[in-house]
Amino acid sequence: MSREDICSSLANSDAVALETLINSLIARGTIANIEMIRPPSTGTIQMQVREPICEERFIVGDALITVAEVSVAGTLGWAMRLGGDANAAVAAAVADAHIARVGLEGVPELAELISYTQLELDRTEQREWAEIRETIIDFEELD
Amino acid sequence: MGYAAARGGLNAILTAENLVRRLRDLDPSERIELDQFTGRLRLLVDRVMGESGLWAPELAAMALRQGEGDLIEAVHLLRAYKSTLGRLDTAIPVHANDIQLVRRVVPAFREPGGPQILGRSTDYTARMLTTTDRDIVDASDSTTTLDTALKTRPSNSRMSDVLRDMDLLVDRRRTDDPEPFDITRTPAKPPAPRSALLSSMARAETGALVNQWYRNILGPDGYLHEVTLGEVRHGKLPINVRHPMTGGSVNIGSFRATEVEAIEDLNGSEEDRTRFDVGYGFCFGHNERKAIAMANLDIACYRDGAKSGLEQSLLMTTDGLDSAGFLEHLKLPHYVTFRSMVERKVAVRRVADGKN
Repeated sequence: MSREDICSSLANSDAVALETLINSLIARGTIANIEMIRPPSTGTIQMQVREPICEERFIVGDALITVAEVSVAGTLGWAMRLGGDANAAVAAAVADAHIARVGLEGVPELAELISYTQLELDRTEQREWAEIRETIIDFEELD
Repeated sequence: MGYAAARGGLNAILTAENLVRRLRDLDPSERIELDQFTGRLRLLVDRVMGESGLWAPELAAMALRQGEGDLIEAVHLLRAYKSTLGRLDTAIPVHANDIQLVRRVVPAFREPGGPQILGRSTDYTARMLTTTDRDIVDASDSTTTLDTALKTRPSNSRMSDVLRDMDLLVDRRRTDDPEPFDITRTPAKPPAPRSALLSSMARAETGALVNQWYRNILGPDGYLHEVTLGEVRHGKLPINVRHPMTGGSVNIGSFRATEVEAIEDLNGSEEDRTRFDVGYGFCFGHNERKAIAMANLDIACYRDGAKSGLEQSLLMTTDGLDSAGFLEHLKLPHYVTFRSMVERKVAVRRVADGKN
């Protein structure tokens, strides 16, 4: 799994589950020597869309995000999550740094959370499509 | 236009504001939770986000709650909050083709390439006010047998591609890639690039845009005719950013949007009458009225070629916060302005009466 895939899962993971797990790993000493490189900051991210008629970009608006950067035992970690949850952003950045340092196999609890997050995203997508596909319609033309 | 400041009455002003807070927050009914707004009043939340230009469902819900359900006030609160935040990054531009559809209707064509999906809609049923609680039937576990091909989402074909394949679409695809105009940093004035127009309409007040559309269909403006909708879509699009340490793409979530293609029958003397052209609408959330009006007005503006005031109307009069703000300021004391008007009337009368 690439670092980007791991960060994507961390960005989409449940905030409470992520924070609880990171706090637990810190309490057990599994993760130590954390330094805040960029304190959590809530702001916006510009959203550009490329439309299909002229293949031209335009700005549809911004999205609320929170970003943080940390160092764990000298390894840099970064996270950006939608919304304004500073603690969750820091927890994700710590997880990113720790996984970058020891590898996903070195921290099975985080590997499990990442795997579960991906599974939940897939399940949500399948549930949604299962409902929507029943509304597929084939209109008939009247003579 | 001149204004003069007024002062005084601070206690009355604070008491009036306190009345709003107290009567709202201490109403004997249950406080409305944010997830009730996002879950049960999603279309209202979507409109606030669209007209604020900020994808932030919880904040939009907070703004609606604080504004006592006043949409324009909620937009004001959210935009004001947004103005206090830094813009920290730019997401990787997302192509509209990356939309994961939850609804797709193609009024122009029966077989548009890919299925038509009604999704969550009451468009085809009678809407009557329900005055009693109905039993909710949860059919989400339905196990209807389906064509194997439909067990996964279909490919994302679109009506404009069908027209292209039939060589019936004017090709306006650009070969350059200009930076999009940012209406939040520079006010857009005519002549403006199309990206400014699309951004302005995406953030416009829905009613204002629908009104502009209607003025052009039935009203005095008349820049729209023979428009058929190619695509009406609602779906999710990914928000991807660059990891600052690897440069790779990271998905941080998704946003929902409504997208519309409006097919225009070209009939101008200098137009290619053997082909159609297409206008485009795209806005945050589920707001089909807005996206339909936007797509129609996009192509109307292009065909108009800045010969009329349409572009100016769209760029400068459809922002809800601008128009409502200007309108509402009329409630503020205008004593000096009006006194000067009264004095002019009196002076004119003196002259008319032969007095100095």
